[in-house]
Amino acid sequence: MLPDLRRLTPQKHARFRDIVLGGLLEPLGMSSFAGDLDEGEVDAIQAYVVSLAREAVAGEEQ
Amino acid sequence: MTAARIMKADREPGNWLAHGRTYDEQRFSPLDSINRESVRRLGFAWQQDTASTRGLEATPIVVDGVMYTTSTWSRVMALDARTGELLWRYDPGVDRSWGKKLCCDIVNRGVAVWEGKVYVGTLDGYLVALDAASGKPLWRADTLIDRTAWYSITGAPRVVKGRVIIGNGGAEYQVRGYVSAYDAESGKLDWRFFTVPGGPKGPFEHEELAIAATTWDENSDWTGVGGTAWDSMAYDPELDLLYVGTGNGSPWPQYVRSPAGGDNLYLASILALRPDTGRLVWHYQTVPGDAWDFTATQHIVLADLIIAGERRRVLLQAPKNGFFYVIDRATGELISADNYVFVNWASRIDPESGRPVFTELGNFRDQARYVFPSAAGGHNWQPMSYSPLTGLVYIPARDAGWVHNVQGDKWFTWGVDNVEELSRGQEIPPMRGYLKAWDPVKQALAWELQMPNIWNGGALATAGGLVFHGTATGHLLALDDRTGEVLRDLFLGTGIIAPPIAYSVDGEQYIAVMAGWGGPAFNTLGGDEALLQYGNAGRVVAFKLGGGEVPVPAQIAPRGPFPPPPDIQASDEVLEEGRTLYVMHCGGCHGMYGSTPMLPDLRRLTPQKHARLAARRCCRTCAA
Repeated sequence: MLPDLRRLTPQKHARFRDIVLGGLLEPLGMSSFAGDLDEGEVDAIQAYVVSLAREAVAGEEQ
Repeated sequence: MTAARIMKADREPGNWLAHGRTYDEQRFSPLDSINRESVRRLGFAWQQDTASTRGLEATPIVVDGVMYTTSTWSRVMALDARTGELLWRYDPGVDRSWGKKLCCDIVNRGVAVWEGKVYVGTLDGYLVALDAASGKPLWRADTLIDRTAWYSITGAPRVVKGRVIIGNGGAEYQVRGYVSAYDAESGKLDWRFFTVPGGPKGPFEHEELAIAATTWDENSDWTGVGGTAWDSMAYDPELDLLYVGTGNGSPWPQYVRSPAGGDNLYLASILALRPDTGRLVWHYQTVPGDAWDFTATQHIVLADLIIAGERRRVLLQAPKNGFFYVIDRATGELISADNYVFVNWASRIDPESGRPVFTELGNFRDQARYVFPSAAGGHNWQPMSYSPLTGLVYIPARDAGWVHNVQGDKWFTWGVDNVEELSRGQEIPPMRGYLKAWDPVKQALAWELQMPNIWNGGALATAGGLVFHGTATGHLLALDDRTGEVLRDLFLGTGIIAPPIAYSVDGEQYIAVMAGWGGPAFNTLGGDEALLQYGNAGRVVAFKLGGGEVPVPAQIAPRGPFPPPPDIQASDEVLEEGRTLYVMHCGGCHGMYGSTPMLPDLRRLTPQKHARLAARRCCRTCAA
């Protein structure tokens, strides 16, 4: 049962690069993607995830 | 456990000595005290926590009252099979950075037990031998030829003639497949069979690769062309043949992988190997030039059938590609093949040549195609079961399609906005899971049971006239093996993908199964009701006659509103880059467009939201 990335807290969003590139949550099974992705790509993924979250919020408020 | 015992495993109905119970992998238990009459009294015997919340796929092994099973991150447990009491556990300490190398969850499908040792393959590519009495490691072999490549092991080892046989996975990530045999006592590598060449001109590690290389474009992308042997094996001691199923091509589109075409041996094939030497005796390729992730790694069953008045020694397989194959297991000759689910990539399997007759509907070189079956397969790793009493094969099957395109950045039907157009002129079935009872002699459906989800458990048939089958929605069903009638329905509250087993200790018959839903996130789209209501606390659960109420985990709190997203603004261009990268790197685990618990819980959607979603790029076939 993996985290719903649309439900990431502001705290997690603030550490997005640290998690994806820095391996912050590797002990929990979230691999570091350093070497696979650069910072710009990680930012693009985060922007995409945020856009999904906005769609979800909009869906709830409907 | 010895060679003599495992060869005659059928004479020990109380034990479940090998992965498929016996070397022929029929997954049929001769135990019959739990039967059509008595099954109404089937209840809870015991359970043991596996400290996991992700997928559990193992087949437990039971030897003389001790159960050996595995959970996430390749962890092993030994239990008292009467009580579930923990005897020992072993954690191989898998490097957690390995998680991203798994297409389909941090799963393991079980151990092998042989002469006082327990063998497990770990996600990070080691084969470990443990002392069966204490769980202490005795030796560890690194099975990987390249630790930087994205290899993994999720499959169960088999032990044949004193050798531990193990393959690996990774064909979604450009690795080169192979199967290895290690001396069971010492852990020394005995032989290795590469399923595909490493290059056009060699070096060929064994002679079969020189032949295989002629079926590849010299200018193939030789990074690693796939063919991983990640699950099925069976052994026939009389013929002395070890059967191994091989996986898909990597990358999927053949015109990228091997641009000039060719059969691309030995992708998507059944290999018959000599267990002493690893030499190839025959091969049967199910999908020449595979382009659709159509692995032939699905469960292989060996049986003797009367076909056209003649007793035939056959091999049965229902691989991902949607056709059910009956093959002469001495020679590799195709006896018959027919589709067991909706198929559109081939019109039939030609009985003379044994080759599929391709249609244009699978050709996605110039345009996207909605191909059936999907990459999830008409049937996947969830083992089927053959009952010699009914002569039927029970297949956990599904009708589902997959949009293949050149970019490969759109999965399933998600993110694809022209499914209707791609479906035109075809009688596309609804996306649905089934348990199908298939007559392998007639190549015909005997009965089928519709399931509430496309991703359910494996099957077990018993001499009690029953078929046991777990569901994504957390039920263990006992069915009449002749009709599919549900005779007993036990609610566990935890989704099941693993196959049940039957065993007995002190004269008492048990049914046991690993409960814990998971797998590739593209299969977990909606329908995950058990997980959303009860979490996904992994455990092994056993049942017996006169047992108690099955304990159901406490309900979890309903998900609250979405937290406010941060104020990040990005151009459409960046969002599209993010989407492509997300699909490539994140979606396999977190789900396409989010994650398992977030994916549209179709029960919760209002009609307005349905309309809104349908108008978006969201699962058109589901919402329809």
